[in-house]
Amino acid sequence: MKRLGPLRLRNRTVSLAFDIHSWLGILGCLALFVCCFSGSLALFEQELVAWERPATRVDSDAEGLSVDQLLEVARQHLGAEKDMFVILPTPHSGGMQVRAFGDGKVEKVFLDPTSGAVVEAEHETAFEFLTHLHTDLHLPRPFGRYLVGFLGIFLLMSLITGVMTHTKVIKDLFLLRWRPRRLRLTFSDLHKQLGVWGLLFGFVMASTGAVLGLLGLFAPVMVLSAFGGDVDKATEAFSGPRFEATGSRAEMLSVDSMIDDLEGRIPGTEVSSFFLRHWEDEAAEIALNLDQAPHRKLVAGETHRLSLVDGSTLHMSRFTERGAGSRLFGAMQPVHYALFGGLAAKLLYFLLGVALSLGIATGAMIWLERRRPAAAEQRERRDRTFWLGRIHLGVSLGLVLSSALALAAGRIAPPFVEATFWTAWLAIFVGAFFVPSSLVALRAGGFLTAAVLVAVASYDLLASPVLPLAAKNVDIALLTLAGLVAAASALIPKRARDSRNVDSQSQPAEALPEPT
Amino acid sequence: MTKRTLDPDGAKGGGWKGRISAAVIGGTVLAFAVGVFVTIYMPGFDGLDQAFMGGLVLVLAWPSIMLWVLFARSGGKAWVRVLIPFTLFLALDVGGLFL
Repeated sequence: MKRLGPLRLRNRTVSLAFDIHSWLGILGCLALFVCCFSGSLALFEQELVAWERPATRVDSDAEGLSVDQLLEVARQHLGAEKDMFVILPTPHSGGMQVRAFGDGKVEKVFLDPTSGAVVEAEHETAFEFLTHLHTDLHLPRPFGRYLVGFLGIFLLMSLITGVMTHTKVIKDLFLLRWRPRRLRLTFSDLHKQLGVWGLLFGFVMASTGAVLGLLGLFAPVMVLSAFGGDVDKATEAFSGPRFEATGSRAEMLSVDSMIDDLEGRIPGTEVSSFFLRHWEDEAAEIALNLDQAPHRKLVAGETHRLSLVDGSTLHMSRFTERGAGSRLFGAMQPVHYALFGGLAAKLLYFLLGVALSLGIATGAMIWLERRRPAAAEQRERRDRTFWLGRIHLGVSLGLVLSSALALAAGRIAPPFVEATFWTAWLAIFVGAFFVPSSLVALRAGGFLTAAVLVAVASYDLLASPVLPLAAKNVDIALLTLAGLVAAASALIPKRARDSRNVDSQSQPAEALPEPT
Repeated sequence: MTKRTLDPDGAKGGGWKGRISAAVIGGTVLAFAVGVFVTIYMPGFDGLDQAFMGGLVLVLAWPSIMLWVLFARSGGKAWVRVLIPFTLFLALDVGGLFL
């Protein structure tokens, strides 16, 4: 029996793997593209929060107020009795971010660390909006989150079957026939190249994404198994005992001194955020989250819960000192969001994420090209492949262009981020059915995206009287990205010749049986 | 036009609907049974550690099981691929939880 490829799989297995890969791809490509592309942008949410809200930009050289002083301002503004989650200021994230919880609502403000001025966060920034698109596709919770988790499973299956169909892995690593007039051949080579080079990244993203997305679904079953269904016991094992407010007033310790004390006790670490509960009560506590030393950043999740009355440790959670399950689980978020390697890791993830999105898009294009009618007169007919192709064009090109427009709205007209994004996406989706050629639309869309990026970066450079280094870097990055997008768009041909004559060259496995 | 139907064996080894239903329904149930098995039996730091490991195994086993079932020669064989290990894992899970 003939066996194919480095995996020595049987002909039937390769053929079936190819079919499953095709069908998984065509069924899930649009949602996967949305998830992967928005995820590539969501990587920079922290870096762009302050850029999109100029009022929260911080000059890193200026002398700042203490955390205690800033907390006093926050309590006066938001209410002293509310529990608060605080993210300490960095040059990228802007001022101190405070989220207050009470009456079933969450209020969010930024505090200027030098003056203590309060900046209301009334609207979601474009990057916060795109992050939500990535984490739950803006669907009702928790269903959106689960759907994204299932997309991870989908992508895993697609990657496994993709590997199984590869009969010439080494050749696929380096073969790229750039034939602007024979697009199916180019799409096929590009799909294989992106798939093989980005395989490890794809597996890591799909598996970590599936775990993070489906956590809410499988956690109850696992808790039932491990703790006999005792949710309180499981919660206590995770975050320690929970104390309710006593109603008795107590003097609070200085938060600044508690942060300094903890950072002094664990060298190489820095407190990045904390949670305050029951302020000025006898049961008051603070949960300090540590941003760990670089060599320990791969496993997140070190939290110290301390009493705000006497400074005693109530509970300490550190995944690195637990078993394999906790260590692996603690690594999910840092690995998925590139939190372990600074900006360099995020840039690498961004490139690989865009490559993964492009791999998904080219896969769908190959599927559609294979099914296009061969005869020229039939190709003019608006058949099933025409409509599917235009839906694909509208969703994918629409997402790219509307993301750029949402970013522009986030910087220039913050209240209109959401409206701009959805209106632009809908308009491009509808417009995709009326453009004479998909390739022309792709070229134009690419140039338009680059123009929007140049416009928004130029606006920021000209409109900001004082530009901190972090914001200036973002503008330079946007201009560079615009140049790359424009260069990629210039490579797209204006029209393609019929590519049916190269059909056999773009088969994934040379020994696939011909269908009856 | 190339037409593919997840059925390279033709009518002889058909039943792709059976295979897909076995993969989706049976594969999901089997993946949960495997996850619970790992949670109960894998030695860990504590219950939380075991629950995390069980969850991770569940998510990684899920697509592998579904594919393995889809590669069966017919719908009936796909269900057999699911039911035999599921019965085994179910018995071990019930034994570990209640005995």
